[in-house]
Amino acid sequence: MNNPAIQVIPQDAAVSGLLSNIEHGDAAARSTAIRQAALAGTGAIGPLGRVYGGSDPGAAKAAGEAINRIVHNAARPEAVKERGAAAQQLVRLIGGEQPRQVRADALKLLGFVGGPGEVNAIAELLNVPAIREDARMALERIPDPSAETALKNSARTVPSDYRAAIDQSLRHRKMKPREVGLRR
Amino acid sequence: METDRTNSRPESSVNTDTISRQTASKVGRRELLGGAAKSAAAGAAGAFGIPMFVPASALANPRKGRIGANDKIITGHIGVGGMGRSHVRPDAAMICDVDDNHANEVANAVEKNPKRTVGGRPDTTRDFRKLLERKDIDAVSIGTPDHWHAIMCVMACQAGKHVYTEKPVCKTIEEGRAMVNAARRYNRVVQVGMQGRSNPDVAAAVRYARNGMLGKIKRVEIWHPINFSTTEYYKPTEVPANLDWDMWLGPARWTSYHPLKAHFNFRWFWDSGEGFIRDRGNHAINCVSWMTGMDSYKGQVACRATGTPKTEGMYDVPQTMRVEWTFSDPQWTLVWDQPGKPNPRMPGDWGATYYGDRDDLILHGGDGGAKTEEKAYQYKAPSSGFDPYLFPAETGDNTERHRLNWFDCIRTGKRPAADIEIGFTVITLPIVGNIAYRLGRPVTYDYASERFVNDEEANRFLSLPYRAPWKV
Repeated sequence: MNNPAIQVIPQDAAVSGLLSNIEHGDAAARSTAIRQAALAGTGAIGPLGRVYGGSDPGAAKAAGEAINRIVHNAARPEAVKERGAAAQQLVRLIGGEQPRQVRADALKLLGFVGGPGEVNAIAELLNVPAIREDARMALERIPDPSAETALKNSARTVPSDYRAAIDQSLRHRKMKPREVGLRR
Repeated sequence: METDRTNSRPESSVNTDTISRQTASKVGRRELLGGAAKSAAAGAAGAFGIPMFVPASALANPRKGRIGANDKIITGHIGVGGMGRSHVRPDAAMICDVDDNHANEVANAVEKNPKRTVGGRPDTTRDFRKLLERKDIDAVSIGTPDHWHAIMCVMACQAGKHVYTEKPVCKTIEEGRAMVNAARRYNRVVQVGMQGRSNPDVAAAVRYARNGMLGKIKRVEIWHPINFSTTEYYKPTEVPANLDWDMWLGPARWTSYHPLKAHFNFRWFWDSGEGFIRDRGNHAINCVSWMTGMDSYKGQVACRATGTPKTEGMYDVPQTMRVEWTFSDPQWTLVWDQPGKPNPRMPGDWGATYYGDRDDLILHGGDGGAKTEEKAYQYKAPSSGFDPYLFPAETGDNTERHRLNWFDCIRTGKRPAADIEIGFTVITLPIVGNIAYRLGRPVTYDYASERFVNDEEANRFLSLPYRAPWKV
């Protein structure tokens, strides 16, 4: 279940400790590890992603929770660099070598913390049927204009039966709060 | 998070083009009004293969577009597996559920109901849009999981139907705004299933508090049992033939079927129910809003939330949760505590203690069932004092009183006891609380602008991208 290519990434003590508790701890240790996961920093996202995609469901669950904690902590208002680092780590989890659920959940988080630096990687997935809805929803949520441009550009490459979904995201991005719920 | 690793069908297979626009919708207002008598209209409807109902709206004064005082209101019902089943009327015209078993059980029961005054069994469908196309239906109830409420409510209003939607009304701030906009634009009566607003026990507590017997309310503490848990993990499971799983998910992002996701347990997933705080928490906070007079609050609220994450099983909402909201004008604090401690003066499964600077008061429950302290029941408000509105109905069933209030408002054009705007204001607090928990930091929400203050990530939670083709 472990991907050796990822395992060789250097990990500091905080990441190692977090991983150990997530992978091998009992319920109490995992709970504490999840709550303190943010202390390990964004460098833990990749290794946790490996566990999240692994075959131990308890460890996978805890790893998923820990990833959420780290990512949302990194996106706090005053932490611009950390947010970018978290987003870049998440991009590593959306590739085709990852299980679908890992990709889908990483894309969901990218919708919350992604910026122009991640848009192209997400937009490439609009042509991958198994995951394109998750990619489209992530782009719809990223407020940066580059996300809108990527959606517009994708309309030229996606299959014709998927263009309506792209148009839906573009329309939603342009909608003002006073317009929601009214006939379109 | 679940550990679903299948690649099966992540997209909605629903195609809007497949929905017939040719059936019941052909029987429009003009046909139904054609001829002098109801029977003629009913005959025309029958010729198109739909039950012989005449929509009350078609018989009302067309200038006002309002249903007459004595006209029967024809209902359709969407989502009848849980609370939605209780809303089904004897003369229901159509039952919609993505689970055929639910729809058939209810349709069979309705057909046999001795109070049914029209012949035959109500039609059934898995697709609510077919129900909304029916011109003979005046009003619909929505009892689906939360992630469907806003879309269905908005589309129902656009189709000219009055709506009784179960709480919580929406998953996001944008959805709530859409529901209010739609209700107002299309002039529909939208009652929210917060039947505490039709509960005399809650009203007694409200009367006591709103007439100053507590003084200024400084703190309200809600206690409630923890969220459900399971040790079971996802494993590939065939979707039962009676269930349209794609339609169950609807706008929600794709996840593979498992019986622990549907039906009741949708409550324990972020993508669908989001925990007790939005379920019975909605009822409890509805009472708080009524007691404190905060239905029209437009100030800011600061929120911090903590909890115990789940470390096993499929469910992903936290096991325990404590959320604290601090309001600015007037300044007071609301606490949601799971499990919290029942007030020893009057213990109970769930409830709230209201602390004022003169007195305090306990209110148990807050949905159809509630109980407060004797001093509130004994209290007589001055003639000039605040008198909480209760729809006068000869029933001991508070949920039925709430439904009858809805029907009355459809006829009179008045706002219902739990109007959609109140439902939106109430559910805003659990929405903000869950966001604060998930972000792991305090947030400040501004009711006036309907945005978080200085937190871009929190603002990305304000709306929810949908699977195509769904939209509000």
